[in-house]
Amino acid sequence: MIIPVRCFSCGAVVADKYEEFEKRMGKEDPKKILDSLGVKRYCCRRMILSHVDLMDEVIEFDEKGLKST
Amino acid sequence: MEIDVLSSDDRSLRFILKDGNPSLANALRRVMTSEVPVLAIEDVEFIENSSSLYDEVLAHRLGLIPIKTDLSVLNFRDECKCESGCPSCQVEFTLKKKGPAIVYSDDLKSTSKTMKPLPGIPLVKLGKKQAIELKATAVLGTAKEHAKWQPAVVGYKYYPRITISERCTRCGDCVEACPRKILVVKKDKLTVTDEKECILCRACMDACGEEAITVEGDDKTFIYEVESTGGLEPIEIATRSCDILMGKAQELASRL
Repeated sequence: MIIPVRCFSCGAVVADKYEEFEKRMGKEDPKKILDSLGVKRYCCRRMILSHVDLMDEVIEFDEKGLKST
Repeated sequence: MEIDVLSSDDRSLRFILKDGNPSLANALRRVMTSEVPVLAIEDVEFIENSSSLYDEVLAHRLGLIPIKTDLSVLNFRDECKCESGCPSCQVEFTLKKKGPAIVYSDDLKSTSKTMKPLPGIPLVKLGKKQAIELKATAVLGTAKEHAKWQPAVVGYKYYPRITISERCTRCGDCVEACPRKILVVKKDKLTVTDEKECILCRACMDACGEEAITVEGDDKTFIYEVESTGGLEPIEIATRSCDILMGKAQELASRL
């Protein structure tokens, strides 16, 4: 849905690094991006690497039932 | 017992503990991760939430945000002299935002000048018809109760002792095998560049046909790595954990 705030396994914060990762993804090697963001452990790395962001799709679906404010 | 600080900054700390023992080393790690108090959001009151995340999910995400904590002015809420929350046992936040926007942890307005959330954490994304408004209260707690109060990620390893015997033929097989690239053949001699970087994987031992290299962990010396989540300085986490551990030992002694 949306990037988890902390790593499930170790508890380190990962959410504040996701946007930069997304921005640089495709232009650089993911290994290099994660290293430069200081995401060391493989538990935290999988949090970012394997995340699928569905937020935009859910918002679109949700808003159909909402009145404009 | 002796402590050597290898590197220290506002988010991480590396140090060597000398003349310790494995049980003490682990006790220290466990106290650092689960018994040092830090702030985290505990109560959330929703005034409006038309976002795509349920109140519970959003409240959970809010709870996980690290909050800069000044332990010198704060008490645990249930140990505080006040009846129902005061500035010396809780910090209050307000959040109000209308879509389309991404709500960040920066959008939380704190009642305290110093105790603020770690910036840059996306909490929820709002569509153009969505909005949120809420009040949140952060209190001190320990990770023994809930992982949101975990102030640091701490790990340690035994100090690596690498010995190279006379049988070494300088073939370079171990240099190839080492994943941390800390072995080099220099001036016809096999040397270790930085033994602290060794991860005790023993790949060099497996690669060596002569059984000339041995790697062992020294169970009296430990290399610690303390990575703060952002609520407290790592050095404060380490010193506080020592105080807490001492307090526990004294309590035990007084009851025996």
